[in-house]
Amino acid sequence: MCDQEQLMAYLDGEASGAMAAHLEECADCRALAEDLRAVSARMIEWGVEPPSAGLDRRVRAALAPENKRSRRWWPWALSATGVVAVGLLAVAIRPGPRMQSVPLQRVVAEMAVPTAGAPLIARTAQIALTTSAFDQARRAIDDILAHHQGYFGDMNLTSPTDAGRTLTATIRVPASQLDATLAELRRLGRVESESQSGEDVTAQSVDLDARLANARHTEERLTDLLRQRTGNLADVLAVEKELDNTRGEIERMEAEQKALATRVAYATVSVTLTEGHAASAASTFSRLRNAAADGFRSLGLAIVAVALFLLAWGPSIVVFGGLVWLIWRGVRRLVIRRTP
Amino acid sequence: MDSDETLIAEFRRGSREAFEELFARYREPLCGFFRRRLESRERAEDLTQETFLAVIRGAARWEPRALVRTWLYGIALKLLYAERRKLKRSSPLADSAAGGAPENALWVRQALAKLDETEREILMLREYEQLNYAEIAELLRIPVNTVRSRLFRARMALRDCLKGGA
Repeated sequence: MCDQEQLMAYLDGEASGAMAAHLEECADCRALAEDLRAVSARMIEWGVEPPSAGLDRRVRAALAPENKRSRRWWPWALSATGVVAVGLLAVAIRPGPRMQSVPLQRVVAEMAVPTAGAPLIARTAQIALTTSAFDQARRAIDDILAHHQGYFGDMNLTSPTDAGRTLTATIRVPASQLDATLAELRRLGRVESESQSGEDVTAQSVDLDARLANARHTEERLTDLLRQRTGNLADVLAVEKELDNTRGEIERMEAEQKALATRVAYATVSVTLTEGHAASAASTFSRLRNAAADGFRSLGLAIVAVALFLLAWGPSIVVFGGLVWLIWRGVRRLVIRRTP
Repeated sequence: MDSDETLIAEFRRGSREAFEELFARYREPLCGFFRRRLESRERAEDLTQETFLAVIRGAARWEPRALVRTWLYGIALKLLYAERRKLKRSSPLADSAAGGAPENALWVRQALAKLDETEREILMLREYEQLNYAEIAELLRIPVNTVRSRLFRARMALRDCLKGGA
């Protein structure tokens, strides 16, 4: 019995030439070989049309011609410039009001932060400081933010009576200004702790931009479909519904893109500023004064509370109290009269 | 002519020309790969584009021990599976004729549609993508001997169709 699979492997170039001699001798195997060749020949008849020029443009655009100087940054440079090019192309060929939306790299570029072609890094830092000149340091943070075009994300100031004050704040500064900002913050007091980290979001942004480009492509096709189809109302409604879904998806991805761009463009710094021991140790008199002030404040609050109670319940107390008093007096007189 | 592996190595060093060459070699085969497996020409081109974008951003992760061709079709297969999951289609073959002689193409598509899914994939990877048994085994994560036996079975099924329908 001939090994037919071995024969097929031989015809596919996957087996040794020993099969050639066998083929000469075996008519069955020659017939099988003919069949196998006929199957392959028949399959090849299913040809497909070549890809459109649009594919070439889109892929070649992904290799924007600016990686000569940035070879050291490969593959980030290629990825980033590719995304810009693909994104711009997608925007350029797409009709309608969505053309104003821009790819991530351009959003970042508009914020004047990282150089195009650099990896996209979302930077975060944390710094904890202790200072005896708390108020001065607090004002200095405002000045630092103003100087570096940053802003407060959130801020919380606590002022316990038995300890120094603490300011915890999240500030956002342009990523390019992070190092300078941290250098200035360090000068505000003694650095208790400091850390920095960076999350590489390049791949995330490339994925997002590719998905966005595809969604826009779909939207474009659906728009065309809607323009061309005038027949069945149900079909038109179905296409409109799909178009709405696609647009919703595009808007969601654009929001995600902007959020990502902001994370890259602005570094996040968590600042903890604590009033030093010198300041709190010298505050015995302040603590006595604060205790007295608190006492007076409590007294005032108690008086106000009593006044509020009287105003709220006074009329009722007068009316019902009077009635009770009259009843009690009447009962008492009755008792006296009957007493022998 | 430089090998695919040389080209990808040059591309990793920043050579745009190397990528251009790689793209020129694989644009039609990859587009054909998707075109024969999906209904929509647009989606086939989109996924071809996504494959090359994945190459651009993933070239740094390519390891010399793997063939570029296997790597490329591996990416393409992953994208194809993701697309099929999205479409939730049972039949992965394109419905519309895709150039060439329509009646012959139709016969081939119908005959392929009758095959078991894995056998069909093995046969298509062999005939259209011209991958060898080892490459197919690596892509589909099955033993080489399984590739060989299932390929033989698929070809025999197609031969029977051919003889019956001719």
